[in-house]
Order: sequence, then structure tokens, then C-alpha cells
Amino acid sequence: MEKLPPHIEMCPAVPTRSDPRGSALAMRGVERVLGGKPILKGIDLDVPAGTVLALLGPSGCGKTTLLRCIAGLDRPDAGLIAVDDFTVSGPECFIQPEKRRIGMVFQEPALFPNRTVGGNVGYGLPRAERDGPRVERALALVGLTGAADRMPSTLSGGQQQRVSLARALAAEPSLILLDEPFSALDAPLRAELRGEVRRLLAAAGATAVFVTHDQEEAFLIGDRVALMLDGKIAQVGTPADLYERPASRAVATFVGDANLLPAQAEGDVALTPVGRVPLARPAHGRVEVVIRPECVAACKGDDAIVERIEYYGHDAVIVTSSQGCPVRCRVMGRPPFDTGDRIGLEYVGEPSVAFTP
Amino acid sequence: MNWRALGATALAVALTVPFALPFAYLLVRNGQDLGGLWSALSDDRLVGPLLRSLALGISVALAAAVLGTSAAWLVARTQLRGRRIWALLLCLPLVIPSFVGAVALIAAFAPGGLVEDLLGIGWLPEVSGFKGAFIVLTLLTYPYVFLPVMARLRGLPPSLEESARMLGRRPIEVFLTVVVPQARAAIAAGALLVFLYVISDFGAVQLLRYDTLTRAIYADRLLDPITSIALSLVLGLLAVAVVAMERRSSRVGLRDQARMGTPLMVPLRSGRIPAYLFLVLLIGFSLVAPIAVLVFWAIRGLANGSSDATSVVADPGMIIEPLLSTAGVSVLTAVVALLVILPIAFRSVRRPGRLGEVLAGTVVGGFALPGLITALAFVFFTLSAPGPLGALYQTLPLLVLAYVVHHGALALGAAQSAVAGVPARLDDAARIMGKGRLRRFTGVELPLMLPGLAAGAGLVLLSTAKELPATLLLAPPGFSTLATKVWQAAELAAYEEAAIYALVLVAISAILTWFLVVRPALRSWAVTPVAGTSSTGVDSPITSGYPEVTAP
Ligand SMILES: Nc1ncnc2c1ncn2[C@@H]1O[C@H](COP(=O)(O)OP(=O)(O)OP(=O)(O)O)[C@@H](O)[C@H]1O
Ligand SMILES: [Mg+2]
Repeated sequence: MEKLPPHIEMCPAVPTRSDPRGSALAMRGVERVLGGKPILKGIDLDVPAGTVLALLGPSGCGKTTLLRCIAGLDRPDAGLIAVDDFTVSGPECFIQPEKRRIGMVFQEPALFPNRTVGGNVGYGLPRAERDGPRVERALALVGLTGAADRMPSTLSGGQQQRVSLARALAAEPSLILLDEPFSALDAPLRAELRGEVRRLLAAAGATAVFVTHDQEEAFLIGDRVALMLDGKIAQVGTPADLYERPASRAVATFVGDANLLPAQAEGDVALTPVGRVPLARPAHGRVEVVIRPECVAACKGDDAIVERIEYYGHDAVIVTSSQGCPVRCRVMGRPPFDTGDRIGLEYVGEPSVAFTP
Repeated sequence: MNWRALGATALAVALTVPFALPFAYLLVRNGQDLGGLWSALSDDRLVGPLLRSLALGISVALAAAVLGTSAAWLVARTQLRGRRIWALLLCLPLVIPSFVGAVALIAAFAPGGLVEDLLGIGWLPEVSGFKGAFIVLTLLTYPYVFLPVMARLRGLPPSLEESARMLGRRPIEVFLTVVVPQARAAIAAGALLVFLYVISDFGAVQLLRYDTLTRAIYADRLLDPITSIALSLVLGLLAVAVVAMERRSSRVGLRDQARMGTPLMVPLRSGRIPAYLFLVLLIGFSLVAPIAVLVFWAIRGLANGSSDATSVVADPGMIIEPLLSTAGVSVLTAVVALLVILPIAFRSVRRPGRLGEVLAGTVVGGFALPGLITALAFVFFTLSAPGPLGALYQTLPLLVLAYVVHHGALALGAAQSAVAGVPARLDDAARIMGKGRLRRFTGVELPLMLPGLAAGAGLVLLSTAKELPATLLLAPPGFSTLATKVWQAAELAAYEEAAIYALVLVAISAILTWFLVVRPALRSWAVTPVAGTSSTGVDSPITSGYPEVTAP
């Protein structure tokens, strides 16, 4: 197949090869090389209509690059991207960003400084509706009723980001992309906006991809979470899937706090320094078992020595040493132990997962 | 304030006085003869030239704004091949002085010129007047808009344009609704510079016989000095007002949100051919055509054995002498300007405040006043002054003084940033080690500042080498620079000879521009996006205190 120049504007609307009907966004084998370095290494991802996918990953793993490919701000070197079952980017076709009906919210508000708030929100609307009720509705949605005549520079950072969200929503895109929209805000404001955006996206029934490197944020906002590590999707699933049944060691350590304890597996149970642990997937031989600190309970006994206590207020982590392995154990409130005490450890969680090291 | 600081301030103030002299002289002379001023201003000796100056200035500024902005957008924001080469070529018309451009235009359409001889077009259009002046000045000044707009586009966060695209707007709409408003301050600053350039221009309008203020001032200087001085005041006020506006407008640029990243490049698609055609024609007419015309005449002169041109070849002294005078007087001016400017820069940077601003503003005012007027003020002053002052008329010291007053400001920005670049703490460190003030200066500060100062001096050198009216009016008898040689030959319609001198001048100016302006600009573009609107860079100290002249 001959590669066509990147300025092809329209292409016949063909369903994607794998035909994942029902997905508002589908990607197959998306690759991108930047500066001679492969950044995206074959991304497959589906986002069902009306759901929010949180794209989680460490800094530099390629989240922004992927988002820009979806938006049409960048062109993948290989692979297909389809929106509402229409290919927008593929080996022979590339639809310009303005034709994709995709909304985007950047890390910085990116408001047009020379336009009022209303002018910004109306920018993506047909001429006749630019200062009509649609603008007011969008502003009301983000809690900025009556701000239409203000200039962006008179708003706070959080308000500016709300305006840019309203601007993206007002155009009623079939898909909305948010690239770490709160990372420039301070923690309390971020927490407030998080809840609000979750409610908003649900109310609008929008399909969205929300990029973040904050696990808490991903879990709160995403119906499903895709964890991206080093240019590949490591796992996609509900927050509980990722947390309780991580697909790999890397996922387990990136998502949440985890003990990885050496163990001897015998079918659906493993022998670990904290006793017998049920396994969700049967395994045999030497393995590493993922054990969340809150799944370990401290009790009377003498299998472990308390080495240190990390006291957080509402809870605390007891760092113990059991059979030579460090084991973290989370308890509510202040633990009734001191450094050097001998305690017993007990596994109290759901069946866990094991990996062969 | 101790005695030493007081001495430094006194020195800075004293050195600033000459920069105010021409304007002060115009005010005093006109003030003494209010009747003459009034009669000169109230009849149409003023109105006609003033309107023509304004008409030419405004129309050229608008045309240059359109050309410069479009070219900048094409180069900075579309999928154009050879971006850096285009950027470089689009700056290059700056090396052609306006009178050389005018000579080229006239020579091209002169009988036996390029158009008639080579293209075989028998019917030669009349190129003098508004038409010719408009064409020449627009083609030579659009880089004054191109450069700041380019710098602005590089500093603009890409997410603005990307948001606009994502909201469904086509690239052309994004250009008009997002890019142009964001670049407005840069476009306005550039256009004001162009306007200033045009109303101050002497060479092109004189050769193309379009009666603007400068032409009237020059024509009246001998027969009707009262009118000439009155018109000079009007033009001087206009120029100073423009500079004041420019300085104000460049202060209110938008703060740039710093974000790295390549902006979204617009695919040219079906617009590809018009885009390349536009750039090729623009560069063709502003750069290639003038040079081609000059080369054509030069070669023809040499080949046909035209008396003027062959004598240039037979006697290399004819070219070497003005070359040496040009180089000598320019270097002298650059050195003197640096010596004069440095104390002023020190005072204004180390003790920021009202006085420092006034001093710097006065120096910039010297630059704002058209060279013709600066020179005329010195002419009238020395001719009417008694005794020893009068003897200065048409001597080398007075010529250099006029050059320094007119071009010194070009070194000011560079000197100020060089001074600011030496941390005051270094000075403290040296003081603790017991070094005397002079030792500290030569041992610590000067070496650090030298690259910046050299760049500033270089700009003075470049402009002095191209200066025409001041040299015409003030040069000692028998003293010619390349510029005056071009001028004299062109007035005699000796295009072969004019072309040879002009080519030498353009070559020198190109080499200097490359090292002083283009290379530093390209380098700073390569490293970081240039922020703000204050980056007119070329030939303009008036945009900000610190133009982007970095050490070459
Ligand atoms: N234009 C480019 N040329 C070369 N390398 C690039 C370019 N753009 C991005 N990269 C590299 O690609 C990698 C991924 O970048 P990307 O911005 O997608 O990461 P990210 O996951 O969004 O990170 P962050 O959380 O910090 O925003 C980085 O290592 C970056 O240096
Ligand atoms: Mg990113």
C-alpha cells in the first residue's frame, strides 16, 4: 500500500478493520516515532460511547503524544484511529483536526486573551449561535453563569480551566480529550474540580479520555482506567480491576501501594511471609504475590518485628520485617505498637495475584 | 550618593547633551522667528509635502504589514520546505539601502536598462513619483514587520491555535481570529518602524522625485532656510511622536506562557503553489531583482568600456578610496559612539530611575530624528555660529558627531544589556579584594561586556556605512563614501558606475548584517522561542531598552 502525503483531507468513511462497533473511539496498533525514538509502540484501545477513560501513566510515557494523535494534532506513523466507527487516521487517510468534532482541554487554559469568556465559549459554535443560549448553558454547566462578558485574564486559574472545559463542551463534540487539565492548579482546587468534572461528564453523557499521572485522579474520574507504561497500554479495566487484579508486576507497583512478597504457590493458594494467601489465578512454584498493605492485619504473635511506624493521622503503616522480607501493613488510627515489638501478621483480603519473578 | 557616583552621573548627563542638540536647535531657531515659522506652516509649502509624507508613510506601512505578516505566518506556521532558508532570505532586503533600491528601479527602467535590453520591452513606464517610492520602500521595509511577527509567533503558545482548530475552525480562520490578534502588537510595532523609516527617508524619494517633507527640506535648505527649518521641526515632531508611540505599544505585549513544543503546522494542500509563488515573487522583487539590475549595469559598464566604469577598473583607487573612507569613518564613529554610550548605559542600568530613563530617551530621540534633519541642524548651527564653532562646518569631527548622534542609540540597547549582564556582585567581589575602580572596570567588567558591546558597535558601523544625507551635507570637501559615490553617479545617470559602487556597498552591508543581526537571531531562534514583541532586533533601538543583540 502506497503511503499518501500527509495533506489528504477527506477519506471515504470506512468502518475500522476490526469493526469494534459501539466504540466511540477505537485504536489499533497506533505507533509514533518522535525525534528518532519510538514513543507509541502499538496502542490498542477502545472507549465505549458515554464512558470516561482515564489514561494513567508516569511522566514521559507518551500520554500527550497519544492524545494528540487522537485529536489530529499529530499523525501516527502506523495504525488506525476511528471515532464513531469512522476512520479519522490511518495509513491512507488523515482527517484534519477541525473536521473531527473532538473537543480538547489542554493543561493550560489556552483561552483566547482577546475574547471575552462568552466569545471563547462561542468560538466553536455556528455563527448564529455564538452569543445565544448555548453559550449560557455551557457556562452554567461549569458554574460560571453570568461570566460571559468578563475577560479571561480577570478569572482565576481554576475558573479559566472551567471556561476552557465549557468551550470544549459547548460544541457538543462526539469525544472530549482532557490532558492533565488540573495539573497547574493547587491541591484543594484540584480535588474540587475533579468531583465536578466527573459529575459534569456524566451529566453530559460525554465520551471522554482524561489523561493524568495521578492514580487517585484516574480512579475517581475514570469509568475505566488504561495504564500506559513506556509507550504501551499495560492494562485496561475498572479501577478495581487494576488495583485488585493487576496484569503485571509493573502495574501492581505503579497502581497503589503494594508488597511484593516471595512465596511458594500451590494451585490456588500461596505460602507467604504473612501466611497462606488465596490466589485468583492458580500458580505453581516460586512466585511473587501482590499483597496490598491494607490486606495485612496485625495480631498477637511473633512472626514479625516492627521496624518503623509511618503515622498519617487517619491511618498508619506499620513497616515490619517478616522472615527477612519487609512487609507493609496498614491499620486505621494509631497502632498500639512500638518499634521493636514482635507482632503476628495475617492475610485478610480477597484472593490475590501472583507473578513468576 | 558619594562623589564618585555624582561624577558618573555628571559625565552621563554631559555625554547625553549632544543627542538633544539638533532638536533643541530646531526649537530655538523656530522660536526666535515665530513669524517665519507661522508663514511657512500656514501655506501649502507645508501642507503638500506633509500630506505626501503621510500618504507614503501610511501606505507603505500598511503594505509592509500585510506582506511581512503573511510571510511570517507562511514561514512559521505552514508545512513549507526550507523554513530557515526562507526566513533568512526574507530578512535580506534589509541590507539594501533605500537609495540603492531606488537606483536599481530607475536603472532597470532606464533606456538601455534591464527591462528594455534584456526583456525586450520597448514601452518603459514612468517609475518616479509615488508609485516608484511606494514600491521601493515597501519591498525594502517589510522585514521590519516580518522579524517581530516571526519572533511573536515563535513565542505564542501552540495550544491557542490548536484549540481553535479543535473547535472546528479552518487554518485561515485561525490565522485571522487567533494569530493576527495575538501578533497585533508586534505588527503595529513593525508598521510604526516602517512608517518612521519612510517619513525619514531621503535617498529614495529624492531620486524618485516624490515631494515629501524630506525632499522639500533638502530643496529649501539653501534658498529658503526659514521654511526648511520650519518643515524640519514638523517632521522632527512627527518622528519623535511615532517613536514615543512605538515605545509605548511595545511595552504592552502579552506575557507569553512559556511552553515548549512544536506548533501545529498547517498543510498547504492546494495553497502550496500560491504560497511558494508569493515568497518567490517577494524575494525576487525585493532582493534578486535589484541586485540583478545592478550586476547587469556593472557588467555592461565594464564590458562596453563606458568611461566611468572602465576608469573604475583602470584605476582601482577610484573604488578603494571611497571604500577606505567608508570603513574608516564608520569604524571611527562606532568607537566614539561606544565611548559616549557606555557611561550613559552604566548610569541608566546601575541606577535605574527617572534620570536614567530621560538620558536613554534622549539618546533614542537622536535616532528618531531623521538623519537629514540631524545633519541640517548641525549645518545651520555651525554656519550661523561665530568663530571657532563655524570652522567646524564640513569637517570630519562634526561629521562623526552627527553620525554618533544619529546612530548612537543603536549601541545603547546592546550596551545596556551588556552592563546588565555583569552582575553587580562581581563588582563587589572585586572591591573586597581591594581593586581600584579603574582596575575593576578593565579587569572584571569590560571583558564580560565586550561581546555585547562589540555587537552594539557593529550596528552603529553598519548604519553609518549606509548613511547618505548626513554624509552629503557634512562631509569635508573631497571626502566621499560609497554611499555618496552611488548618489553622485545616479544623479548623473551614470548607472554603470553607480551600480559598481552600490554592489560594493551592499556586499559590505550584507557581510556585517550576517554577523551582527542574522546569525545571532537565527541562533536565538534555534535555542528558545523568542518571546515578546520587543524583538524588532534589526536597526531598531527604539522598541525596547534591550533589543536582541547578543554576542556574535
Ligand atoms: N516533538 C518531539 N520530538 C522528540 N521527542 C518528543 C517530542 N514530543 C515528545 N517527545 C518525547 O516523547 C516522550 C513522551 O512525551 P509525552 O509528552 O507524550 O509524555 P507524557 O506522557 O504526556 O508526559 P507528561 O506526563 O510529562 O505530560 C517524552 O520522552 C518526550 O521527550
Ligand atoms: Mg503530557
